[in-house]
Parts: sequence; C-alpha cells; structure tokens
Amino acid sequence: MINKLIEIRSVILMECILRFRRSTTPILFLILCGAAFLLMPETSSGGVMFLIGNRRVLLNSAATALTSAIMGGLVFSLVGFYLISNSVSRDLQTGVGKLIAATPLSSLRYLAGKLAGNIAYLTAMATVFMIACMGMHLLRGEMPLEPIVFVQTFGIMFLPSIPCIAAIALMFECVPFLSGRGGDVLFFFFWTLTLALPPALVSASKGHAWILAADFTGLGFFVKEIISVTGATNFTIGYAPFNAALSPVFFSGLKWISEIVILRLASVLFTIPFFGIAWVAFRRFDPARGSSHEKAKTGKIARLWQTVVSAWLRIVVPRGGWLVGPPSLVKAIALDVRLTLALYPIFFILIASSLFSSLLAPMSAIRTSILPITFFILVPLLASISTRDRQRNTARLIFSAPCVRRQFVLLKFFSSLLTTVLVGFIPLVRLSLDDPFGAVAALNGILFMASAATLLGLLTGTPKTFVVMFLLFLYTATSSKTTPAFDFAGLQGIATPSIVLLYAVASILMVVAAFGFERWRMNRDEGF
Amino acid sequence: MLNIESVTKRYRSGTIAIDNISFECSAGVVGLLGPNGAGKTTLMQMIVTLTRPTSGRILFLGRDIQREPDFVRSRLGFLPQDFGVYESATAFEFLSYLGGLKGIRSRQKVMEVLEAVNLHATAHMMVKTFSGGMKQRLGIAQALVNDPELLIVDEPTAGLDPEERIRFRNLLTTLGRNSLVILSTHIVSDLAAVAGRIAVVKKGKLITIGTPEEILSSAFGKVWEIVISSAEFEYQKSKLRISSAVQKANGVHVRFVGSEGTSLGASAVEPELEDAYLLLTDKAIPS
Repeated sequence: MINKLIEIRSVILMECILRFRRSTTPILFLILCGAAFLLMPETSSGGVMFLIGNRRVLLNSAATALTSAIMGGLVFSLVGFYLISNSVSRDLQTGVGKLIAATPLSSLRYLAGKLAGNIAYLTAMATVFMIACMGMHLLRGEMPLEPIVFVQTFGIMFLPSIPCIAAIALMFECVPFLSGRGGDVLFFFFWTLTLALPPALVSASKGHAWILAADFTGLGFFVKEIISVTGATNFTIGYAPFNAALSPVFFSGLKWISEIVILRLASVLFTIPFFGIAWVAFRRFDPARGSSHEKAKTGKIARLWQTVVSAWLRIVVPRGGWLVGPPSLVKAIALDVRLTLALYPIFFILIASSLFSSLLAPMSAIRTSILPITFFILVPLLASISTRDRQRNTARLIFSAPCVRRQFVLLKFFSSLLTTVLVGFIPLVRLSLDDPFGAVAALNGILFMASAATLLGLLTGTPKTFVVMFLLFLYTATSSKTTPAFDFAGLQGIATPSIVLLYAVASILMVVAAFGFERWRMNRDEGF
Repeated sequence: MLNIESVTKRYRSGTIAIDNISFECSAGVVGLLGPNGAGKTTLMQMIVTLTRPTSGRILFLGRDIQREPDFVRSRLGFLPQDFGVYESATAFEFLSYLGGLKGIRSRQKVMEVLEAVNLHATAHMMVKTFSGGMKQRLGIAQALVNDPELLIVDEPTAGLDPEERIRFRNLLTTLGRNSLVILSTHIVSDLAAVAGRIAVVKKGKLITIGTPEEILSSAFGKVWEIVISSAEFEYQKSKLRISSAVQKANGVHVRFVGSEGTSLGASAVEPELEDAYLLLTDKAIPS
C-alpha cells in the first residue's frame, strides 16, 4: 500500500515540477494579478462588477470575494482546462509514456497522480489569484480586508470546481475522439453549456436542493443564494455602469450553513464519472492502439478518402508547374498551404460545404450563420499552422530551406490567410454582391484571425492559446448584438468603418509583433 | 527464464508484425538482429507488456506476462529506441521519478546508477542542457535503476561515443551474468562483443537463433573477397551481395557473400558476423 502511495506521490511531484518550472508559469501569475486588477475597477470609473438593480454593491470583503471567486471560477473552468490538458499527451509525445508503461505503476495510479498534480497546479493558481484579489481589496475596497471571508468564499465557491475541471481535462486526453484540437473546440462548447445550465438547475432544484450539486462551476448556486440573501431578482455580475445617484447596497455575504457547504462539496463527486471514463479509455501508451486518426489511415474508407483528397489537392495546389524552380517566399507559402490541406482533409469538407451552403442559403444566412460557423471550425485548424513545425520538431529542417528562416512570420501569416480565404472565398464573393461593406468587414475579420493565430502560435508555441482566446473572443463577438467594438468581422452587421479600421490596424500590429518576436528568437538561438 | 510461445501480433490494418515466433532464453545477453521493419521492436514491446500479442503467450520465470503484467514489470528494465525525457527536470529528478515508479526510494541508489553511466557530475543539471549522448545515457540509467532481472534495450548505443559504447557493452556483459538482457541493434560489432545468443528476425519470422559461433558456422565457405577495378565494381555491385567495399591503390577490395565466388576469381575468407547476417537475411522466408 505504501509503495502504491509512493508511486502516486512520484507522479504528482513530477507533474508539479514540470508545470511550475515552465517559463509560462510566472507569466500566468502576472496575468492573474492583472485579472484581479481588472475585476475590481475604481468606482470613479462609473462601473463596478457587482450590481443589484442598478445600484452598486458596497465593496466589502464579502462582495469582492464573491465577485472574484465567481468570475475567477468561470474563467478558470475554461482556461484551466487548456492549461492542464497536456499531462498524458506530454508523456505520449515525449516518449516517456513508454518508459512509464513498462513500470509496475497501474493505469489507475498513474491517472490518479496526474489528476492530483493538475489539481495542485490549478489550486496554486487559484491561491495566487485570491491573494491578488485580496491585494486589490486593500487598494480599492471600501471596508477593511477580512482574509477569512476570502478564504471561506474561495474555498466554497471556487475550489470545488477545480477537481472537476482536472478530471474533465484528463477525460478529454484519454478518450480518443476527444483528444487533440477537435476536443479543444468541443470542450469550449461544453463550457458554454455549463454557463447556460445553472438557471435550469436553479429552477429544477426547488424542493430538490441536491440537484444543485450538479452545478460544479457554482454559478447556479450563486444565483440561488443571491436571490435568497438579497431578495433581488435583478442583479449583475460583470462590469456594468451603475447609477451614482443611488447609495450603494450593503451585501452581508452568503450564509455558509452546513447544507450549502455540503452541496458545494458534493459537486466534487462529479470528478468521479469523468475520471472513470478517463480510466476506462486510457490506453497505457500501447503503440498498437494508436489514435483514431492513425487507425483511420489504415481503413479502406480512409484509403479511398485519401485518394479523393490527393486528387483534390492536385487541382487546388498543383505539385509541378510554377512551384518548380528557384525557391521563393511565394512558393514556400503555396507549399505550406498545400501541406495544411493535405494534413487536414476536413478542409475538403469545409470548402465544399461552404461553397454549397453559400450558393443555396439566403443572403442573410451567410453573415449570421455560414461565416460564424466557418470561423469556429477554422480556429483549431489555423492554430496548428504556426505551431506545427516547432511542435513536431520539423522547424530546423524547414529553416534550412532558402527564404524560410528570415521570413517565417510572413510565411505562416500568409499561409493562414490564404487557407482561410480558400474556405471563405465563395461566401465573401456572394456577400460582396449584396453588401460590399459587409464583405470588406468579413475579409478584415479573416485578416484579424490569421494574424492572431500567427502571433499567438509563434509567441507561445502551442495551439491551445489561440484556440482558447479566439474561441472566447468569437463567442463574445457572436453573442454580443449591440456592441460594435466586438463585431470584428461584421457578423452582427453593426461594425462601423472605424471599427473595421481598428481591427485592420490591430492585425498589422500583431504581424509586426510576431515579426519582432521571431527576429529576437532568431538572434538568441542562432546568433544572427 | 523467458519463453516465447507461438507469438503472433497482427495489427488492425491486417499487417502481421510478428508471425508465430517461438524461442526461449535463459540468463545472458541475447541479440536481436534484423532489417528495419522485421518486427524486433514489436517483439520487445510485447515482452515489456507495452502491447499484447494477438495470439500465443510469453512466460517470464514461468508466469504468463499477459495475466500477471506486474510480475514482469517489477523485474524489468526497458530502453526503447525512441524514448524521451522531461527536458525541464534534472537528471536526478527524472531518474528518481522513474525509480520511484519501480519502487526505488533510495537517493543513493539513484546516484550510483548515474555514476555507472557517467552522469553523476551533471546529476542536478536540467536535461534540456544535455547532449544527445547524455540523454541516451540517462535512458540507460533509468533502465538499470531497479537492478532488473530482465533488461530489454532497443538500439542502446545510438548516439554514444566510442568510449561510452565500450563502457555500456561492458555493463551489459556484467548484467548478463545473472539477468537476461535482450539487445536489439544494427551495429553487429556490438552484438559480436557481448551477445551469448543471437536471434535473426525478418518479416516477423524468426530465421534462426543460436550462439555467435553457430551463426558464423552457417557462413563458412560463403564469404569471398576480390580485388577489382572501379569500372568492374560499378558493373558487379548490383549483382553481388556486398558486405564491404574499400577503395585502395590496387583497386576496390570487395567482400561479398554467396554460395559461389570462385568463378569470379574471388578467394574464400573467414566469415564475420555481419557476413553471416547478410546471408541469413538473404534467404527465403521459412514457411
């Protein structure tokens, strides 16, 4: 028994060493401090994060702790997933998995260690965030800091979601069709579902309080308790302007009675089914049970599919012709686009469906449905273009080719841009016939997307950063019907020429920043 | 010690990686030889319980490793060909980690193994600062950390400098006194130096298994040497099964294998393991 515990401890310890030693960890700590700063704006700014009716809530410890715990918990349940969803895949990619698989460590203990390591990491993050929020309370709070209130609120509202997120991340890594970038996108939609679920749980919980245990993010629980404590049905969490003429409301805090605490702790039990699925699906690094993608390659249907894709590639980007001859940046871009299309045959479906739906659907559907859906699907695919070379260790091979190293940013940017235009070409043409400004805005959105993918991919080296940030942005942009500032591609039809110009400038700045970063890295690595 | 009984591995695609292989080994160093794609790695992966045979069984010390995988895992050291390391851990941390998973708790033991592979001076340095050879030695160290009774090493000397290769070969010889070491390599001279028995595999089938002497004896009278001009060499090289060709002042010294060489004016020479291997893998696959 002791040996088994030591094995789990070894896995946890190594997980923590690897995570805390990452160069991005201190940056994340800084970002958390920045997030705490943004979560507690000065009241003189005219807006606050917690309103009841249109009266602001007095910034005492109970109010600031609850606001930051709820907002932080929501963001953590999304970002936390992407931060930790590489613990098993890391072992697979580095090859350490094979070494581990040949030890007596059971799959259950291995996964338990990974789960606990990820919980420890996210808890550390949450603790840093809580301390930063306490610091901000000292700066901007209107009542004295009560550390116990913060610890209690974070402990009950925030922490129970962490084991669930860690288990979900593990499940996504272990279940073949959920692993990879497709899973990253699926999780995003799962997360949006968890935002929509709490109101339903609140209404279902009348007389059946235990139903709220299913609300692991704590949002529904928060809604129910705020209604119960303040009697208000109209309240806002998130930055909103308040009526300065009205006196602030005093919020005494939630009542931490044992029933509530037990309900929150019970939500931790939701870790078990997710962990169970991960355990059942885990393949213990068996090379014969490769990813579904690899298996698909060997099937008859897949072989037929490959033939279709190859034929299509020959038409879209022919191998011979002008691609033969002295190397140039343009040829390198064309070859990179060709590689993308060959690596992800889904582009074939995407282009075909975009073509047919644009021709058959009514004009209004192009802006409101076809383009947004296309953008959502393109996010994980674009994310790989600027990161795949370093992730697959082919960067050095590619850099040895002429015209590539010094123009790598341009290569990746134009490759992303062209790939996106290839998918969105027909919708854009059709849109331009009816709404030329809408077409310009959509093209500008494509430009913004390609430059963001290039910058974030090169900056962080992982596709996950772009996936999570852009999906969140896209989600906000497609659900915000009244704020022109979010309408980066004219999808809501409310973008103004100045907004379009602003995003165009932002796109150029991102490419310039990527160029500067890559030049700095080149100087550092190769002494140019 | 290790019994491989009618083991077959068939992938879902229908590819047969290992086709009804049977042999047994006791303590000592057993070399696995075969061309790329012969099934050596798949066979080793089945022995270390990384993947399961489609049919047949593997017994270690009389216990079925499929039914009792932990029995073999707790006595196993494994160095795969394409293993990796955690770049942001130190050598000591990495070895302590894998040692911990194998039930090794002693820091001293970890340091001893690092010393055995000549990494003790860099034990507390991050692995990302290591050269390829140093990483390979760290891989060797993790395979040895639990004093394995069964050591499986796939291409272990790749990336090692000549001095380290000799050091490692000596280490294997010492280990082979009490344990079973299965060593797969393309460097035939490594096998000649340490292996007590050699198994030759091709296209998933076992062609032969025997001592180096037995393997060599199969090549007696079938290894030839001839000195020819460069022009003649260009003509002959596609026709002969050449094991070496060295350009010297008097022409190209060509060493080749085959049942007949006198008609070309070649003289028979003493076979080496590499010649025997070429002859064996050149044969038709036994049915």
